[in-house]
Amino acid sequence: MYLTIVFPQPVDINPNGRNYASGAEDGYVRLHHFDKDYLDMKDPVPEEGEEDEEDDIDDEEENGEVAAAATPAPQ
Amino acid sequence: LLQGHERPITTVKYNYDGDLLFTASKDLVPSVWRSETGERLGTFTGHKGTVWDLDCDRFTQRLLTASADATVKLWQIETGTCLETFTHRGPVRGVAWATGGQYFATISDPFVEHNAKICVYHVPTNVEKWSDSPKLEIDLPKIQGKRVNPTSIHWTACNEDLLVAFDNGVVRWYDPDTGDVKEEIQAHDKKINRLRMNRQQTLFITSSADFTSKLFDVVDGKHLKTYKTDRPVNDAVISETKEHILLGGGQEAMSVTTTSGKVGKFETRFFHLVYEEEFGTVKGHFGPINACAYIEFACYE
Repeated sequence: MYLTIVFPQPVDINPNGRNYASGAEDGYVRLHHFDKDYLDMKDPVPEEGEEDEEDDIDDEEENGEVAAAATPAPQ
Repeated sequence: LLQGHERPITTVKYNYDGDLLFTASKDLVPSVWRSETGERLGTFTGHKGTVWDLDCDRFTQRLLTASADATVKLWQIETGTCLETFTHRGPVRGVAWATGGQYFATISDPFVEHNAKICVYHVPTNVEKWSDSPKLEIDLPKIQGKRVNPTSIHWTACNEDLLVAFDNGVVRWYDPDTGDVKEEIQAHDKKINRLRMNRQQTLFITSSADFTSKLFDVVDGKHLKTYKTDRPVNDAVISETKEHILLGGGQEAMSVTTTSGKVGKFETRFFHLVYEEEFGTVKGHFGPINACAYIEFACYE
């Protein structure tokens, strides 16, 4: 028997834009601090054929260890 | 870190100033954390059921929590004391402060013979004791024999309307004085899991089980943008500082028999507000491997 289980998985972004939080069904809240790359990032106007653009939004702690891989836009 | 307790987080919300983060989960005890460090400052103990939603007022003085125990509790944030309990007829799904912090609105599920309801309460700051009966009660009868459950509630600018999302994909604007429906749109074909507004109260974003999130104009209800994913969207939020949308969720449909051991997967997706283009995904996993990555903390008693 199959059932769809949907967990709330909430997110919120700090109004100051410096961090965001996500909650998971395991009972953990993860607080993600944006790194300088994200904060300084300019949003490029998408152009056709420009697929390998890298907008890194890696999470990092103070020591700068890269955590999550940012994936480029799929299409 | 305590692991192995499966108590899903139901909501996370920053306060207005962004220095605090409020979280609610199925462990009955909402918590407040310092957003820069992840230090837990306190808990709000008293509910006997899952806390589905919470809302903190503009000046971080009073907190409202909505629970499956059919109550809404009003708390003094600084001390963590419960000031008042507002009993409802069914599990309370959502709660929202009105601008000014003198009124709040709630949505509750149907329970036995009672229909789902929208309630408005008056809790002025200049008195000690409040009436626990609502100032306004809007009954939500079945539509063609089917129960319609509200999933999210907000006040629009200047408390002009109550904006309510439903599990049939509809969003409605109610008059908070008379309870009349002023406007209605069919935003999605499936359930709207959550609705959030930006701080200026000009835009709202819906997250739906139909795998999309949509951006609308609060005033005229005009559909502006659609963010497509391949999974149900459980929560979405508009960034205040960048033209970005964060989508939470993406839990795959799972077999009940294979859930053990594989829960814990979650991710946040980033979309550009204007171009509707996804530009990043942050995945999260269990374990100490990621401990270097996030300030990670557990919600336990």
